[in-house]
Amino acid sequence: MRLIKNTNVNFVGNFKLWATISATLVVLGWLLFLFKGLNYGVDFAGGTEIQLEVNGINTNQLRKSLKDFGKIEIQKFEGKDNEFLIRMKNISVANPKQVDNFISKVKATFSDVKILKTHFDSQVGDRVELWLSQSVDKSKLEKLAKENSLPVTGTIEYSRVGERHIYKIMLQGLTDKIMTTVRSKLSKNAKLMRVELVGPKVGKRLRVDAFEAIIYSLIAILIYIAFRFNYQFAPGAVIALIHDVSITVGVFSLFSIPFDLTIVAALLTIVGYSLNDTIVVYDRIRENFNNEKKGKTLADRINKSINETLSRTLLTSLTTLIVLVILLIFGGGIIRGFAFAMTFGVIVGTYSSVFIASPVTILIDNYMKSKKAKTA
Amino acid sequence: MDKSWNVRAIFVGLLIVVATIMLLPTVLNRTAHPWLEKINDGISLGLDLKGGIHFVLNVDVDKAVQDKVERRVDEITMRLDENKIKYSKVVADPVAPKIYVTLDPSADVSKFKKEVVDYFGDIKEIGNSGNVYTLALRKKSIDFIKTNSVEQAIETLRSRIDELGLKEPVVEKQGKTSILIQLPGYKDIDRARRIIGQTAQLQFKIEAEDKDPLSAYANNLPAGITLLPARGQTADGSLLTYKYAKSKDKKALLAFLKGKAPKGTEFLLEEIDYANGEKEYRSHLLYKKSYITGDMLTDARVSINQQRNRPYVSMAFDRNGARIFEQVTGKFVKRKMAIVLDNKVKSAPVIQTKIAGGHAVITLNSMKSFNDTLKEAKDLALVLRAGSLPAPVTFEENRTVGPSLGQDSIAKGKLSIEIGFLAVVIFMVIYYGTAGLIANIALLLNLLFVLAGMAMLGATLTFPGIAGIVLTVGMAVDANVIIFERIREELDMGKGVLKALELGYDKAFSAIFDANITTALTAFILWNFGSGPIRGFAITLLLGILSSMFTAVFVTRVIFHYMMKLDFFRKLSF
Repeated sequence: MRLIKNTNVNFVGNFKLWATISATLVVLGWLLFLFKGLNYGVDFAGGTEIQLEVNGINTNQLRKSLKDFGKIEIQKFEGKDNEFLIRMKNISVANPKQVDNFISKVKATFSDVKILKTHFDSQVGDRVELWLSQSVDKSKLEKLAKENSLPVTGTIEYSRVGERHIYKIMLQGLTDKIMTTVRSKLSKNAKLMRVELVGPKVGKRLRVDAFEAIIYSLIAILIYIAFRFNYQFAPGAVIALIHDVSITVGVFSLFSIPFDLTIVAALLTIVGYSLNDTIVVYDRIRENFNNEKKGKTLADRINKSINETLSRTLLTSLTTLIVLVILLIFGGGIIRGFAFAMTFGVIVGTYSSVFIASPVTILIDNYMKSKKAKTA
Repeated sequence: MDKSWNVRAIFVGLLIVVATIMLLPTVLNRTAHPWLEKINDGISLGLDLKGGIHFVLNVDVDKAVQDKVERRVDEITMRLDENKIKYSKVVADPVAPKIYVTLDPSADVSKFKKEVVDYFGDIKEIGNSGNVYTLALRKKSIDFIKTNSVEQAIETLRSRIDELGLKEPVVEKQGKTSILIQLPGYKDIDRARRIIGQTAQLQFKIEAEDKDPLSAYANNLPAGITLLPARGQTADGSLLTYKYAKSKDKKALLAFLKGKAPKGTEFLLEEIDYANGEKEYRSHLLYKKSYITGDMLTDARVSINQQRNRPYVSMAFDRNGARIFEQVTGKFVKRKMAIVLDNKVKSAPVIQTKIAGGHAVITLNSMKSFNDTLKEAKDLALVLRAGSLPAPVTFEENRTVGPSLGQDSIAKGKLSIEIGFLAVVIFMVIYYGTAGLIANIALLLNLLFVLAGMAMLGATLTFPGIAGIVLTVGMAVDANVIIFERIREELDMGKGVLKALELGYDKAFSAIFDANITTALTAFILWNFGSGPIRGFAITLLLGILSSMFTAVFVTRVIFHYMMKLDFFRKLSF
């Protein structure tokens, strides 16, 4: 079977039209990125994401039962009726302010007791430690903690070393607190499927890392192409890559699709994939570069090269798209963002290899010639 | 000519055999066939597939340095007092980190430099104005504190995670100051956080050698537990004998000891590691009251007694600690004092004499070789430091996947691979006929090689990794598509099948190579940047690219050659 044979489409001739469309999309992508921004997932924004399974309830019931937790985002997990996704900025129930309030209350209540040391780690949030100069009434401590809305578990550990009286007021973690709340208010059988909890510092670091990874791969590719092909090919390839990434990122911004680590992986793969297409075309251009039979002008030869490889370009994109659509349908919610980014990126990448990357080399060639003419 | 083709065919055959062998440990039941372990450990599943808890902790090394500087202030004042050097103030600027010592105008400055500054090896004077001397930690010791605090944290975390009794927990350094913890199969996040997030508890407790509750059970011992005699001494010199219990089975030992400790005492265990990897536990009966805690300790280090060439551990206490240590050692002289970290006995040296001045020395069992003793001394110093100056640890990341979700992901991944594979295979046959069939053989081999490569590298299969395999299925036929399209072009130009085949492979090679190298480049960068699941994706992508190049260019060529030989080419279609 053969679908595409001896095509002779003028890809280069209509470059201005394609360039205008592409440039508009790229600019739109950047504008969306800069002004609307990305919907960063917990990987990059920090915070907590919990996926849980509760049978026979809807999102509103879940939202109502968790209203004490402050700002919280709840949605149905894609493709499942009984699974929900909870996202929030916090990573522990107790915050340092509540703990400070509690400590000052302890000071006021037990005025003759000296507080030697306190300890609370907001990232762990598992306990408040108080080192006191005298022993105090445990139940009073617990009451004070409750009054300051600390999520006490009811356990207060006490130990004494010399003249130090150490009280450890154990607190509930965020996940635990949410699960016990859901179990008591909605359904005993609520099941925890997945938790992702990322501290704010890590989120920032991962963002920087991801950005660097994308930049590094662009640089590495630029160097490789300049080295393996003629230097005038490299700009076209890189412009095509920036084109693909910008438009894909723009789409993520437009539809507010959560942007996480797997999406960065998808972007880098798109970069590699789109380049793969571009290079096959370039390889043919390299072969036909000085071949009079393939066309009188360089533009003709480039157009011929694109046409000669068109069948391969479309076929490979087709097989890749087949598996990606299958992944999109059967892969489930966790991988959906990745599959979507890849599907979209492969389409854009194929387009850019044919309509953008190669014609740009002609522009560069013309520019170099005119420059040469001027100096001569 | 034919000979070289035979060599190629044998090479491909060998590779298939090797790859199949490499996959045996993954496919077969490893407990039923223990010999499989000799091949490799099989492809392990990532936490996102098998379920479990993943933590990343960060050790606040800067805080550890600041704490050290604050401790030094206390020690410097003690040292100034001991040497009767007059001073008005010693303060720390822990952020800088610097220490300012204001001496009395009448103070002996050279004595200060010799007896105080030089005494602490790790600090130096960096300037002075009038009577105020500025001291700073040496860079070398700052680096030491930093790397050491991460090591200490890992050490404490390992022993704590052992308590959870999991099969293959991972505790390892990640980057410079982070620690990665993976608890496969574990579900209770809050308990894990509580256990991991505890500050290390170092306590010094006195052994209750005057009590002997175990001797009564000498004739009534459960299996696997032995009673052994020990000797002690009271302060007035009279001898004490008592029995302690020993066993390889920790649970059985704890069950045996339960409820047998007299009032005011408790049984704690000491873990003894043998060179062959076996562990044994022995009981210590201790008075519950702890006199000294880790925070009173300011330093612990290993030194070597030059005359006897024996390593020992020296400890230093802060003011309050020094005072209490003097009282305790005075009261319990000749008794054993157990060093207890997180409720495990680490060592139980005998108090030889009353110790004043805040400096104590622990000498170790002299029956062992120098190197063994040195290791023991280092471990003990690490324990003491871990309990005295635990660097603050914060949780940076927690990712938990429940087992049912992991199962679900595996099922979905499998289904996607199967359907994707089938779709591509059907497409290739429809589009290229017999040649498509050959490309499909290459595709199948490609899957085999990717999985075998993962097993050989000990790579972890994650959910994004499965997505990488699905993607590879779609992308791997690319090299064959390039070749086949080229062959069709050559055929169009009127060349014969044989010639077209040869030209197709030759001319397509540069395109295949260049195109794949760049994808491999991005996959490699991704592998470098990513962690966990993303790495799993990068590795399958990378292996997929390499193996698809090999199968498409090399393997299919060999198959075509033999098909021609068998006069098959009449049926060969492109």
